[in-house]
Amino acid sequence: MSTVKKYTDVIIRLPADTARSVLGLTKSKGIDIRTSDSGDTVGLPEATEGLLLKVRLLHPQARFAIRKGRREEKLEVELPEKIAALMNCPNPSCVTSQPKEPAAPEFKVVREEPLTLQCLYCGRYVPKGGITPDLFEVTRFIPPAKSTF
Amino acid sequence: MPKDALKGRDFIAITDVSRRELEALFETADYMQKHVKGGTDALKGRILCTLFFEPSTRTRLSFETAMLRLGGGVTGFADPSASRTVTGESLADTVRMADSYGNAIVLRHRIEGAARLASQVAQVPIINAGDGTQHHPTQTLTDLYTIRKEFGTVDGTSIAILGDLKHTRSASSLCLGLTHFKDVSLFLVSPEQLRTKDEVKDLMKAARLNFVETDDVEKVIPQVDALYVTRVQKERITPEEYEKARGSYIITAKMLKRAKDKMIVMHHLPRIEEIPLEVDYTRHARYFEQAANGLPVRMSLLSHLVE
Repeated sequence: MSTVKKYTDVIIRLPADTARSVLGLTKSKGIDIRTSDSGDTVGLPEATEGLLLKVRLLHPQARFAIRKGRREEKLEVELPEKIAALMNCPNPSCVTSQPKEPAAPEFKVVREEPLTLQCLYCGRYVPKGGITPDLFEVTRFIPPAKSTF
Repeated sequence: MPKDALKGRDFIAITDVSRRELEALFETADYMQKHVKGGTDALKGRILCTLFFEPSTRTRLSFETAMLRLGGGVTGFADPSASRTVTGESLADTVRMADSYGNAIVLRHRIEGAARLASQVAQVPIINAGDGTQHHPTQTLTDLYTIRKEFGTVDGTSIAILGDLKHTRSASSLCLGLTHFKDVSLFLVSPEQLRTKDEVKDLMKAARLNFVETDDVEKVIPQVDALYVTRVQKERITPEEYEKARGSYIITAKMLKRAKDKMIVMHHLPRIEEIPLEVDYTRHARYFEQAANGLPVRMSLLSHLVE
């Protein structure tokens, strides 16, 4: 059985005026947001690996750290080769966008810089700026993992 | 005799098969040429289900004829309004039913990734007869076979693909198919807004397939062995863009006077206005032979895949 990896006292540094987008991704309490012209900082008492991956996808420039007392320890949020059942495909003509079809969205990370994801069903690249918070609202039924890609 | 590695496999994209498997398919197509009128009983007792959720003339007819010529039977639909999909039945459920009735399924659907999903829910081979704007592998098999038949090989040929390279799945699929071959020079001729998608270009770069993007067809014609013409898809671009694009890409007999003697003009058909009738009577026209090649090629494919 797989366990969900969790981190405590996570700090995320983001471009200015983008911190609010993280709020929509978590129901966690005690989130600390600090904004300035040079950038935003989000403090999370607890964060799953999946949540951090979503932030990484949404804001490729994000920097992560773990607070250890007065120190901060850099946290690398690495992109896996494939991203499954974490976000929807933005292509409305993709089979994974059809609510009745048993197809779990799955993406290949083609390159990290600039971040390029390719849907393994429709084959399309997620367009630049195409990863938006609403894509992470995966409310559809996800069939058991049986990737054939 | 070694087991046929293609037996029982799906055929979703032209990149699903290796170069060696492509050559095996072509060799069987050569053999099937002799049986396109008389037929064989290679697939006697097998049933092919053809599920066409989008219109088709050549692909569906040639698949059905291929199965009949191989001694098998055909069931399915050419018009989804005659199936339960009009009541909202999902693609996956329809495919599961066909899976239990037939020995292989040929699927065409407007939804991108439909064939990939079908291959996950079905046990029998799924053959993609076109989904979305990227894959049409059996058209590409036919196209590559036509080039091979004409020049003896696809390796070392110079090919131009012309028209709406962004939305035409036969064009994208051919680009992917050419990655199997060596020393191919590819010219992608289109207006700026209809250029080949990055997804396809990245795969060509990874395969080290040399390609050049241009909008100047007149300059390209004297350099190529095959000119593959596609229709500019009016329904997918603005009227202004369409008017601008269409005039640039009508291939006339006069333009072909500068072509190599043995250059062939290909088209996946249907043509609208991009190849006028006069071209049919030049030595370069090969689109009807190309369409005819679809039969032995699909006979070959079915004979390899169907168990």
